[in-house]
Amino acid sequence: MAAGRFRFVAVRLAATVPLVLVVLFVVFVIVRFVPGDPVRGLLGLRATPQLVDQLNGELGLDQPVLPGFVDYVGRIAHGDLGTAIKAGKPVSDLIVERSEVTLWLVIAGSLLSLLISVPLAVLAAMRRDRPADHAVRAVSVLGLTLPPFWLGLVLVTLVALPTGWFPVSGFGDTTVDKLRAIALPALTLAVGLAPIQIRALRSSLARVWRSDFADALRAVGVPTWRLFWRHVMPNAVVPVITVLAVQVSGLLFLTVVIENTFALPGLGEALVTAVAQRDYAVVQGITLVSALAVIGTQLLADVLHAALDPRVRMS
Amino acid sequence: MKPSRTRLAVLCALSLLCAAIVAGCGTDKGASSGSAKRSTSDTVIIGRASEVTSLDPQRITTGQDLITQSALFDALVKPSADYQGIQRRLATAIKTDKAGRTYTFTIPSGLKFSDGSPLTSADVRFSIKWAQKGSLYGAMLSSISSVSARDPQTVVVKLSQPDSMMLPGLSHAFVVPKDFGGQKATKFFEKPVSSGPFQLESWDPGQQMRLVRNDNFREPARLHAVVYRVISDSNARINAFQAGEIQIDEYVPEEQVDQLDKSGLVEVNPSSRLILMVTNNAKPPFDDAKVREAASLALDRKALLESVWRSHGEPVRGLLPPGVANAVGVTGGEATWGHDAARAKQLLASSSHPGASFTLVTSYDRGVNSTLAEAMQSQLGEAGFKVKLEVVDFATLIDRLLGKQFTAGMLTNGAYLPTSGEGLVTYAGLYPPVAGWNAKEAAKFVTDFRNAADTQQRDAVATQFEDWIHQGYLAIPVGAPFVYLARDPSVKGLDVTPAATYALDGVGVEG
Repeated sequence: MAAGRFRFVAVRLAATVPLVLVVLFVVFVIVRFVPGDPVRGLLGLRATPQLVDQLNGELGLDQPVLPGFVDYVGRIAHGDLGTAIKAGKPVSDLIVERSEVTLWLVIAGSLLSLLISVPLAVLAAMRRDRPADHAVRAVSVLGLTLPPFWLGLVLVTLVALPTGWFPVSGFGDTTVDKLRAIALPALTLAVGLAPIQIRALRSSLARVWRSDFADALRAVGVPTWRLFWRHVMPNAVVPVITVLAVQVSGLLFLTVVIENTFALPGLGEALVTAVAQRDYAVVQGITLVSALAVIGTQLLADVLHAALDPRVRMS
Repeated sequence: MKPSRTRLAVLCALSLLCAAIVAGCGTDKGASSGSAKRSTSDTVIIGRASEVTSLDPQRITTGQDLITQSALFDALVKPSADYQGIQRRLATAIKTDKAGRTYTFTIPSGLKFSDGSPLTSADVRFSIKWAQKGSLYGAMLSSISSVSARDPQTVVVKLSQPDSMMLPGLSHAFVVPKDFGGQKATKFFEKPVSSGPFQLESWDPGQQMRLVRNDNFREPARLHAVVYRVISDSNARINAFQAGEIQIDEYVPEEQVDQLDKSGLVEVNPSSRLILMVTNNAKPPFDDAKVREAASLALDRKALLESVWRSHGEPVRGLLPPGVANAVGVTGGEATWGHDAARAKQLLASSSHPGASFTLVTSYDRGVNSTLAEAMQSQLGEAGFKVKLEVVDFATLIDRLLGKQFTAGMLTNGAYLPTSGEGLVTYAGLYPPVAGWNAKEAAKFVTDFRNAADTQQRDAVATQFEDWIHQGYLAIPVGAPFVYLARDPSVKGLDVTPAATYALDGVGVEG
């Protein structure tokens, strides 16, 4: 069984290599065909062609696409993601620095979304087709319709500015600072994530709650709380893991919006700046990390799915 | 059997309580807030829209670059506060010979760099010669034939011919240690030794730069430290300012001016910012001067000033950025660049491209916004033009212009030196190949301006240039809006120049 799981993970990991290469190649080609010279954007209209050529050479931007890509992949294999044009430092360093903020945001936002979605989904499932259920469903639809940037601005305007409890920009140095800086962005993210979770978990819980095995357990006198937490919830949560994995894939978009709204120096904010500045190495580096994160999350979801549901074989 | 109501209620309440704890963790108002450590009485936190291009003065491209480099490096001279002339900075005396070809600068004795090493005329000589090689502003110093260090306190600069642009150009010849203290230039500028009032303590590009007072500077600054935070989103910057997380916002877009209390606004009036429509005069329909004139007459600049910039700007008098010395404008002043819709219609109809259609490529950046672009589209439309707007980002706009892949484009031109010579050099260098101007004629204005003996002569050259532009409608000036910064009332001594730059030396915090 353990060998099967190991083989499953190894095969999936091996399959990611060509996938990542394709993603890298597509991004590499696209950023080079997008109009806008990164060096000219950096130096402005007045820079002489000589200075532009000099900096292009320094940054290795004068190479043709294919040799440039081969060179880039070779450098990645040695852990070198290139140098950020504007920041003038290794992209890997920049990604490591910016990842902290994004990880805080993603983890806090995801946890908060679960804290919101699980109780509401349980409530809705247990009160199916009653007013509480209708109310929860209405709230989740409302949550789906709220654009994150708008919600972020509302939270800044109505909560952060009047109270002064939360900073409206930047990230802190201490844990308390970080928690305060991340609270509203995480809430914004959570409101974006929770509605789908609520709907998925509610429907799954309702289905399992009324299943034959649940009826059988009830018939033999298993207490309700035990039935719910030991038997219904583990079965109901399996499809929700897939939903969560899909949501994580879309998190990059949400973090881009939220980090810009709250001026958080994370990966999303770095990506937007890098695209505007045509900082190819940074765009490619963040894309690579995002692709690996998405693939890793999907893989983790598959493993978890199989671990929780013995009917799913790792093959 | 269903779960009891009590259990469900407890479950929900616990979950919501956890959510509330996480969200509200650490809500003590007195604690430091996120990264937004509030300023102390000797530290100012400044929000800026984008990171400096480089700490290398040869690569000054933005106001942020100039502000930071002026804080880190001294120079012999500096622009006067009103940008109408030059005044001494490091130099205690400037002597000029009668022919205007030899300048002798005296610097104080006992000067030191931030690392404690002595700063002498040899360092100044090296810095001037190095600045001459600069791609962006080296042209302003091109008439310098030799620089010598006569003694440790005297620098002699000789010119091949009298040049009115030399002294303004020297304000960007920032003083660095001779031979960069034995380092390569790129290495040196990663953490430069400072000759200015501040030195670099730490820099996390794209996020934050911290400067601290250089105690070896001849007149120590009032502030102990300045922290620059990069907040690219203007809404987030305004929010940070209103929350007290930054004390200065270096750039408030026009559309956000009304969000701020007037006591915190700094209006840069006049500003050396000019917004213009660049036409590709080598390509239809703007290869016909009648079409260019029609486009100019179609624009109601007064209405644009009132509607787009809510009257926060100057009337357009020419193409050279206003607010700097010798920006006197076209003969006849603002009336010359007037509005006449009927005449515009007539001209367009009688041109070689009646009913001309063209694409106006623009970036919503640096003073150009959707309100302006759409208002121009409407005004040009009323004169019979069919205008399609193409909104791109700034890098793409530059690419399109330099690649001549455009018919008309919106640009913002600014001046960072206190001379209209900078504008002339920019126009003469950039626009002939891109927009189809006559290169020889454009270059002649630069030469005449350099050779002008006094400010009256320079005014005359500037006017001739403006008349030349207007007669051929070579480019179309659109507006000269003011620039806005936001400043906390506790910040004192923030004197902003027309270039929207400021010297950090005099800035302090009170109260």
